[in-house]
Amino acid sequence: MQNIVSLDGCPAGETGKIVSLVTGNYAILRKLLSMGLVPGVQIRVIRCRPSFLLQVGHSKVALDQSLAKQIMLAIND
Amino acid sequence: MQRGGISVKAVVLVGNPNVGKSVLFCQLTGNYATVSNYPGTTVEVSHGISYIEGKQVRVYDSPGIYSLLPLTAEEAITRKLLLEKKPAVVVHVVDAKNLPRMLPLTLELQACGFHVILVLNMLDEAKRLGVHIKRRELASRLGIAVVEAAFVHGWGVDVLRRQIAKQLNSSSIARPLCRSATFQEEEQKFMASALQRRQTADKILEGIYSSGDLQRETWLDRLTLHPFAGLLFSMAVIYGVFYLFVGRFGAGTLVDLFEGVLFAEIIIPRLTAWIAYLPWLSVRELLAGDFGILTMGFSYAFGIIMPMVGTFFFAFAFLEDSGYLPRLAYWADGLLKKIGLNGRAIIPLTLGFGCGTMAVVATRTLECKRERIAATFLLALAIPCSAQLGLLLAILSGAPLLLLIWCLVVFFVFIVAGSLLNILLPGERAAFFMELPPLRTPRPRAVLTKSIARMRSYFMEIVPVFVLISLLLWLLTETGLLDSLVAVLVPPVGLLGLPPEVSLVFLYGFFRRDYGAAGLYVLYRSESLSGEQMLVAAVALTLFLPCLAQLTMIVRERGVPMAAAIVLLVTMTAYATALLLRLALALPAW
Repeated sequence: MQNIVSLDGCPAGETGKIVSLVTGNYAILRKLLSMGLVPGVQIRVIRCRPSFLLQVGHSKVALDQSLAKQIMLAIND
Repeated sequence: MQRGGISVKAVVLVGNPNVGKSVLFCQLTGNYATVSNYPGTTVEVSHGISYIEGKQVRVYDSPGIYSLLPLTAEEAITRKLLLEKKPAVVVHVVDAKNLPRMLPLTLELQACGFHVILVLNMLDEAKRLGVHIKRRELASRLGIAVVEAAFVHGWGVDVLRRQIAKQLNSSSIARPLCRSATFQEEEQKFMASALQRRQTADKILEGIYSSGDLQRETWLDRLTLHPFAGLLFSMAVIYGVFYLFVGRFGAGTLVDLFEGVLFAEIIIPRLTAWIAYLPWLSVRELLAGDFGILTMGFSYAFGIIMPMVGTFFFAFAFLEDSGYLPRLAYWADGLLKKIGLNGRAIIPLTLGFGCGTMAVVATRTLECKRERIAATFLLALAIPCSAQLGLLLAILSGAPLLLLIWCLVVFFVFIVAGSLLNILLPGERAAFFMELPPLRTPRPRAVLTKSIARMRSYFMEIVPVFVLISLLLWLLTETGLLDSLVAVLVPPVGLLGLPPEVSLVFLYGFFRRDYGAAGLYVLYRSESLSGEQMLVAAVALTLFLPCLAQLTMIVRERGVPMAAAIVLLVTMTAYATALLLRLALALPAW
């Protein structure tokens, strides 16, 4: 049974796979997409303060709480 | 593009930020690059001539983009470039290890009908991490040339040149579909196709790309991203780079050398001696009087501005190339959120402490209009430029308490104005997102080339402005209008508890921001102002209208109505704050 949570509740060090992006706002979708944050991608939370810092593939991406809220993550066991 | 009757074909370099486009650009064009557009941070398009197998081509280095549907004004510039220059070849540079994320843009460029060459840059780094890419297979699946490169080491440039030549010689002509379907897709359709492109990219890479290991965190990474140490580090960077290097060394030591010694003692006395032979008094005044084109205009531009702006551009290019700026934005995000901006705004705001004029241009890197207006306003109001800051610090450092009050008042105005703008300006605030590139040691040559190119274009803009200001001030003195203008200012200045001489200081301050502060310095030394009066005048001068150059730029970037609103509000806020301060200090009106 996989545990699906929104990214903004994840502590530093958590890893998981993006399952969906919950937003109807195209500008936001485009931002996430341009950073490589698309469903199916594995990410790791490096920091969650002051903003979220993620490891996506070989790059680091910073995003704020409001964007983190829109990303649903399936936590790795 | 037509040049001397021979058509020069265009080659445009595109790609995400921080993939090494600028290094490639330098290698293709040598040092003969021109930075057109006004020098901001990254909102600039460098272009230069390159010879490829004896043929002249014009190479453009575009601002970094993530897709052809732009998010920021700078991304829009890249799209415009692709549309207008009709490039014969588009070179898409990617960071090899991040290929899965960057390949969708290649597909997008291909879909628009451009002749694309894909460059897998930083391959040395990727190989070290164990990333493997089968180049031939990738080229055949995409149907375009794929070049392996590590431009920092000069590796891959020759192969790329040959591929560009091949493309230029081929008979097929690029027919961008830009104006039709692809560019004007609706957002919804774009999203669908963007997701599709990513899936296609993943499919293309199946079996020919293996991702290797993640880059190890270095101690510098841990330091700059640590919750507490990172914040301290960012403050140390601001202090060291902007205060010590630009403020003390550039605006202090170098200005003393250039203006104080070179101009004041060597150049100006000689020029004045020659000009004294001219028979007409007003011409003598125009050239070498108090506001003379040579004595004021040129010595100001080259004696004061050049060393300050030069060190600033150098420091900024260094920070830019080190990849540290996005980390600064990451730290500032929480703070700037409180005043309706986000982390991105730290770059124009920090620039403002160097030169407000450039900073206004750098607001283009912000995403929405609301943020651009707020940042422009705050720059005009509460961020003193390096010239002003240096002199005000000199005046107030004799009285630490006054200096502290000055800092607190200006900071308070900054926070209050920002919070009010946050509430009053319509629209939604933009969410913060940014890629943090790895830290790299900047290459001295690249930093130098970049700062010299920016300085050159800065001077092309600024020298005529100074000449005009000299001319205007000369006209005002000749006609006696200057005195009437000063007379108009006397009553409101008196209400601030300040003597009439200060009116002239304020007026000068508008034309030459630091001249105002310099005038204040003279009054301070002659002891015609008390400490409290100094404080009121310093606060007013800091918050008051920016200099003429910055105003020109505000008009250019924000338009006349918005500029007028900003000027009006800034003037009112500055005056009201100074008045309140006078009342709080219980100073009598003059």
